[in-house]
Amino acid sequence: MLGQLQRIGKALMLPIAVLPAAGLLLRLGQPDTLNIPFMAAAGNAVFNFLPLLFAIGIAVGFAKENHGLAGMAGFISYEILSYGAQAINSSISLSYLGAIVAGLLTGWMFNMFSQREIKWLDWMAGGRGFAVVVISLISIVLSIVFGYVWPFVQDAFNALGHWLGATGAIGAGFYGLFNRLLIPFGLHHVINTYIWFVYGNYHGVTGDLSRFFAGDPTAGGYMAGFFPIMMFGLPGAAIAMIVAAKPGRRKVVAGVLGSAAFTALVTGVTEPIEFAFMFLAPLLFLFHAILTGFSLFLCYALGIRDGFTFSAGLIDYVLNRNYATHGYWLLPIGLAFGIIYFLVFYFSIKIFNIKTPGREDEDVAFAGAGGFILDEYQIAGDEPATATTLSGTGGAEAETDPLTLQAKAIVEALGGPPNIVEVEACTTRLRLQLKDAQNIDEKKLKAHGATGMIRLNQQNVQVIVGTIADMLVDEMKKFM
Amino acid sequence: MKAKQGSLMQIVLLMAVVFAIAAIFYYLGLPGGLNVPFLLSIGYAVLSNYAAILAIGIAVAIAKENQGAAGLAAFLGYEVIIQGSTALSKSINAGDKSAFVLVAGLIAGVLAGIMYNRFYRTKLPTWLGFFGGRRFVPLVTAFASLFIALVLGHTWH
Repeated sequence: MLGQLQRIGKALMLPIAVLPAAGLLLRLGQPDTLNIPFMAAAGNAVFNFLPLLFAIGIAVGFAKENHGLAGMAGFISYEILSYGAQAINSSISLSYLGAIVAGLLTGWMFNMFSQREIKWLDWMAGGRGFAVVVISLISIVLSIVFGYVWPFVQDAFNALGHWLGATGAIGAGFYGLFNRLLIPFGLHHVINTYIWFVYGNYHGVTGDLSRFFAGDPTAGGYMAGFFPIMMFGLPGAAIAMIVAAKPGRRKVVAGVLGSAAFTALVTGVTEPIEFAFMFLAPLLFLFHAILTGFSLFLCYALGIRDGFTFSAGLIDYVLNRNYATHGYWLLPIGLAFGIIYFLVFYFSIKIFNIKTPGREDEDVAFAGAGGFILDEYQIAGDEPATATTLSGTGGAEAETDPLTLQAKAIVEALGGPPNIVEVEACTTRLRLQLKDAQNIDEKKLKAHGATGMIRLNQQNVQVIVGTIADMLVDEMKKFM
Repeated sequence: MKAKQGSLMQIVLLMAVVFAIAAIFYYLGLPGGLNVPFLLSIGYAVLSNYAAILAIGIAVAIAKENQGAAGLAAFLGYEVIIQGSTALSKSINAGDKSAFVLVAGLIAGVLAGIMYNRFYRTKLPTWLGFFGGRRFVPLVTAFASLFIALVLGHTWH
């Protein structure tokens, strides 16, 4: 189960990669900052369609070879689930839940059919094409299920929202808890909508958020507690994860989590951080939810009132300071939460040995599809990032081609390009002239297809590889 | 045996099949058909997004080994173009049946496919390593789409 969640987490890394940039574009383009609508719209494009991007990302992440048609199927699946459920009950909003269902359904079904050779369907991409159609049809059925079942769930949480609004600080605390816990289920929207736009009445204006900006001095109790978490707590967690990462990976992890932390601090956009560990380490996400609840409770109880139109980041904090009550108290409270988050995350990771980014097992982290912190092509080979021509000319082999990988491994086993003076193929053998035949890793050679090796002298060696010798040498030359 | 590269023709025909099935649902759902709103919605879900699906399909066909990252980049680029252009020029009609979305979809698809093949092996310095490799493709595609939105926003009628 945890493994499956981690696979979701890993698959989300692709769409998450665009979030920090989009978050900054979106926030800075707003009317109250740089006011560049064009820029804000671009960032908006990402966040408005985030569930769709996640659906595509999860589908592609789970699909064999990360095939693009799985992405298409994931897109179609999500749209059908949404429209279908909404046709039955217009109040349904599936959000991230829809993304996860669409993504997983697609991944599973796609792999079932993708390798099958369905000759009579070859004209529409065979097994894979068939999978796209099947997934679409199944999504229709699923949408009916959601259509009838989900409103009950949503209504239950709407009622919960009512209760939360009526019970002061305790309610605020639970609101914070549920606000985070329900994200993977897309139900946080339900409670948010009620609390922020419906609850309470101030001269005709309803909703905590709306009333706050209309000047209601009692409003903002359900938003203030988010500032310490989003500006200080989550960045603190990010730092903890960076410090807890294995030393060799720390730089990379610092890059991704650092940018995510910066985004959260400045804009209050926390998706990059949260989705980075939500599925990889659900226990930590639970702690995060509890701490968020505590912050909401504390700030409400202390009488702090503050708010945001966008999210609880530095920009909103500064812009809205004149509406706030005791707003400055959020800073020391924030620092305290930053430290608490750091300590909780760091020690939980160490005690429970949680595999946050940078702490994956050795063989998993970098070895192709298993790892999740780095994309294969970020680490593959020594090839410079040069342009390739459009595929379709039937040209170069991909780095994932078995022959290419074998050639690469053999070059390495022979001591790398510096050690190889000359190589040529002779029927079933590689004839090599090396600088020093001592530098050969025989075990590695044998592990990669060599059936035998003959040392002629200190510099000359023959490696028996079978009839692929010719093609192998062609490949090997690309790495030298 | 590694998988064959899906050709553009195969993927286009696949999309045609999907759209045809969606159209059947749609027309069945119309008041003139069986008048079932649910069927109408199902068909509409696919048909109203035809340009986005087209973008994904084209990008996937162009991309080496039909990689999914190109498809994601295509959809992202498509939305950036549409949102960016309409923000620049309120008069652009970007409805389901407009010519604009079709153009946006075609451009986004081709762009993402080309961007994938050009940038999927990009290596970034270690501290940015997370964003390197195939993850760089949606970023650079979105960036390029911004420029396209800029051009279209000012020139499209």
